[in-house]
Amino acid sequence: MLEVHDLEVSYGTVHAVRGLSLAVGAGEVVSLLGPNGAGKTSTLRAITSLEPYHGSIRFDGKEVRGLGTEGCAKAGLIHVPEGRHVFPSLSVHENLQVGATAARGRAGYSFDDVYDLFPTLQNLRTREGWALSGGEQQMVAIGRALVAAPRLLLLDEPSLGLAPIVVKAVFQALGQVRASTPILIVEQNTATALTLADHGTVIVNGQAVLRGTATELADRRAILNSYLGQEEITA
Amino acid sequence: MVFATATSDFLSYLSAAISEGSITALAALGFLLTFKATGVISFAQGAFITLGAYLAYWTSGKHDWPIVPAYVFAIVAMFFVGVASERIAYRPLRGRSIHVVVIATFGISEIVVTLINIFFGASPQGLDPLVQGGFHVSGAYIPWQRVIIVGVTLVTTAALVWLFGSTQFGRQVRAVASDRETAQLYGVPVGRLSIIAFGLAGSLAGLAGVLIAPVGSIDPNFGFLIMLGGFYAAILGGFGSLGGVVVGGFLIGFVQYVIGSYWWRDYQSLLPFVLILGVIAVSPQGLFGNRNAHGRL
Amino acid sequence: MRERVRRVKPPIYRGMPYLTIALFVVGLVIYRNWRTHGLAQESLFNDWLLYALVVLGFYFVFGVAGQFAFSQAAVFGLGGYVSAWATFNHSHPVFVGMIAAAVVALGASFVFALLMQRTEHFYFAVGTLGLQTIIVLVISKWTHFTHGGGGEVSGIRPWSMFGHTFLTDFDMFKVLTLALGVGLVLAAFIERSPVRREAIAVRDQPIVARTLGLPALRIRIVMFMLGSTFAAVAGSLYAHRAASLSTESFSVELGLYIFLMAILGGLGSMWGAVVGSWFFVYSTQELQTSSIVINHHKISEFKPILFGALLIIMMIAAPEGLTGLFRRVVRRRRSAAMPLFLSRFLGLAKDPVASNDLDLDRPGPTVSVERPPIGDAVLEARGITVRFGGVRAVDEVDVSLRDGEILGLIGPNGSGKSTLLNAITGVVPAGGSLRIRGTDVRLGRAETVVRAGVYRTYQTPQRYLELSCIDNVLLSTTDRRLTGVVSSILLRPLVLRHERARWQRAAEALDRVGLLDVAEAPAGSLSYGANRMLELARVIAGDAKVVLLDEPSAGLNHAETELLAAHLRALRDEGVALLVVDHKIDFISSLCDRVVVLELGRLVAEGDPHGIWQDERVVTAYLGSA
Repeated sequence: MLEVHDLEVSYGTVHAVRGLSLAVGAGEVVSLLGPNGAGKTSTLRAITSLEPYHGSIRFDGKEVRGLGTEGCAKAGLIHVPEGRHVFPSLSVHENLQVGATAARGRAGYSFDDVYDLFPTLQNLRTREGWALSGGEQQMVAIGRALVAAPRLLLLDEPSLGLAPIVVKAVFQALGQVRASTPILIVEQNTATALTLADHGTVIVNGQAVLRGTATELADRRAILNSYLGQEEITA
Repeated sequence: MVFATATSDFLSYLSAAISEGSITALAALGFLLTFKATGVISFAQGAFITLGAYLAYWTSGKHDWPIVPAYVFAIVAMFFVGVASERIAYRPLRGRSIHVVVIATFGISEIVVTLINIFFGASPQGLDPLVQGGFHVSGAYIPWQRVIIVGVTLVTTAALVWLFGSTQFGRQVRAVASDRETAQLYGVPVGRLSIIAFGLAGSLAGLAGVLIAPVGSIDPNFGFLIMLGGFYAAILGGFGSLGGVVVGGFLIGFVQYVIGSYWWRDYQSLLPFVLILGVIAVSPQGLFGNRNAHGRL
Repeated sequence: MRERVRRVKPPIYRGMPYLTIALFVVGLVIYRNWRTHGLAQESLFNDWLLYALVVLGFYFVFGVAGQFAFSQAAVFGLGGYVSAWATFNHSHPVFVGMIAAAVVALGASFVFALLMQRTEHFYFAVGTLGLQTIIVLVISKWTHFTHGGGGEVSGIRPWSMFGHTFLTDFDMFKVLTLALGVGLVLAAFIERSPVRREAIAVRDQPIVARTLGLPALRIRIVMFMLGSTFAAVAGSLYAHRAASLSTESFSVELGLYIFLMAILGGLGSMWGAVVGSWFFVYSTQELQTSSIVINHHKISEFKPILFGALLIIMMIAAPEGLTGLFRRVVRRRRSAAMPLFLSRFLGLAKDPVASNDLDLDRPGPTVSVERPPIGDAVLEARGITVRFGGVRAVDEVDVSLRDGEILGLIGPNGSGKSTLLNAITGVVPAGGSLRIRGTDVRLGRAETVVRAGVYRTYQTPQRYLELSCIDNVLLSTTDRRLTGVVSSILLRPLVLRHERARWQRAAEALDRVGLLDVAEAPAGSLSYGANRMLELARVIAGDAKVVLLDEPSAGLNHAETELLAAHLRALRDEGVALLVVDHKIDFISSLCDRVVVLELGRLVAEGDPHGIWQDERVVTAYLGSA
């Protein structure tokens, strides 16, 4: 469904992403792992046209270049940005309502579906975005994305700054979502990401350094080392 | 007899306060709309108020249209003028800092006012009110037009509050105002929204112009002064708060026309400044403003 | 090293602006005598000089201090009226009028700026419009003051000095040239003094300026007062030249035109005022005298339209103004095409072309073999808690940093490391307690933390792009004697002496990190690695006792990271305590004596840098639990 070939993203003289390729098929969950500043967020931003890029990005076989960010959303490519970006002055329910803008006739999650998925939000319907905790914001952000009737979901570090118990709840919900929607998930927290993902790519300094299925990537020491560009540290 | 005069004086002052307050609030609603939607403060709003009044004058005075179609024409035409200002001053400068856009709106203001000067001349003109005449209360004469102004202001404010609070359009506008990029990620048509916002603001300016003009006379500069008053009302009420600007307007009117008429008549227009400075010194965000309002002030 | 440092002269001694001003004045006189014929042209020339003075004042208010003010025209008028009032009595010498105008302007602008201190930008701009309205109102009504009605004053005495009366335009030309010359010299004084870099610092990044201990409010108020005084003096000269005044002389339109002149000329230099006003005055004249007619209307009636359109076009296409364009064309080699404040203001900032100017082959700092022993706690933070709305970014964290030690702080993205640093340095409100060298320091006040000798670097280097490297370093100096506007004008020799000393220290700091050769280049042109070194130079020059570094190795390659580590070790050897937040294993392991780990705002582990990476808790923190 989503094919990225030789993606290049630069900010001035800094090359954030160099020649990255990846693909997400129907029914799959793919993870993009890597340390801070590796280029993961830049990749997602390029996919939804928030950053200019070189290379090819195809969604449903068609190039997304020229669609524009709003166009990507309307086509069903829904991006939940890093740091959640819940609209601070809107209430939880209003956030969801704005999310519905992208749905555009597609059948997606209804508001009730979202509240069923995240029961905690039931009591917070009228709470304004800025007053929510990190975990609650993440639930709203994901709920908002679901209401947008995504055909592919892009999640940027959903576990960022969340307590383990909250991460568990969020990923449990995502486990249900994956049944209907393919997901590209970007994470620093590899263990949790790998509970959801089928396979993944590790990206360091803008380039892919490791690929594999979830089980292959489960050797965490190796990942830590490739993160930090070090050889295996002997005790 | 003395008592009757005192009452009628007071009522005259009070009616002036309420209607002048409404006038400033009505004038302010337009630029508050652009501000809430885009963060831009359009200094062209005053010129648009003037233009709205002149458009109505042109159709009703020069071409003998009946008054209501003349008003409607002005309001509709001003929508497109507002859209034009978005295309000229906002869109090309999108991504620059707000100050640049503000300066550009000043440029637009100059252009519009000068065009009015050229086409209509600088001497004051008159515009017919919606309803002629007035009524008496305890010896004070109150023109119907002033009552209409107050009524329209309240209705319009309520309508805007409803628009922002309860409609999808309003939600989208608020979303864009707080986080434009994320709004785009959810398909909100940010470009179209700013066009509509500017257009609506233009119409509001037109509405203010056609209603306010009959109360006095119109000249190329009359809108600017009213807009300034609107700024003060908005600052007092808390920039970004629609209800606040109405309260601010009434307070300013009260201070200027009621207190000012009794106390320091020669300098009564100074009193609102004293009030505003006093409030700002204590609470920089005004009476009802909040720090979460879009834009740095 | 001494030799290299001495070779480079401080900016205060370089360039010859006074010569340029002198040449300009001479040029004015020659042009005036040779080219202008007839009263009309003489009058026009004088108009130019007057406006140049007003716009010069505006350059200080807006171009340097960044304040959006429409009050120049109002104060210009006010100055005229005050001068007329003060000289109404014929026994008063005429220059008393100018003094009175200046004094009133100083007072009014001081009060106004003080009242509006907590507001910025838009409120301030509207406030200045309000000031205009107030002044017009008072003048129209206060008939006693104006000795006339409705703001009309006539019969103002002509300027006279030393017994000579300046009646004609030719006479006034001499006075105006003198005034403009003096104004330009004052402007040059200010350009070449600490005032300029401090005003720009406050304008571009007020928060960082606060953490540097700059008196932001004082600078803004003083610049506003200075600009207003220029306007008032010009107003006084205008009144005595025109012999009559009316409130139409200083409408809001004039305020807008002043804006236009400033932007047209270019906000980057004081000459912009001269160029912009020249263009305005002479093009207005061309329009007035032109015989082009459009639709039965003379083209002069379209003047505001043309200027309004010009303003918009300038904003879109040529925001740096004519002087900026000139600088770009002529001095290609030098600084960025337009002041980067302006380009950011106008949203045009492009990434400066990075040059690899970091000399990695130079021998690094010498590190002594013997390390000083680790001493007592220099910084103790207890129970630091930071909340944003419903989120606890930092949760009851205790950190202590000892003399002569380098402490590492690691943790995954979003664990609150930067927020912890923000809390300690007083940039965000936080709960808890902080002691520095045994003295309690209140949390939340950036100035007090800075004064206690705590310095902080940021993840993205916070430097002033428009200012030169050495200016950036000079901003960090703790020696702030005689840096004000008044001193820069009146006590110049003393100021120069202090500047020389400060400059020496700054140059030494730059030399130590290998950036002496680019001392004059704008900081915006440096490569990423060089920028990190610049930050280091600021730390060195700032005489810090405790330094908190936020991801200093981010964006540096291996060689640059090594160099950074060597510099940090040298600092430690000099007795500076360091807290380093970072991700790179090598860097942390080789540098730090002790490492603490933050996760979700809580401290979860502490240990020596080698063992810590084996700690299961650390691995979990970074990669999540299995």
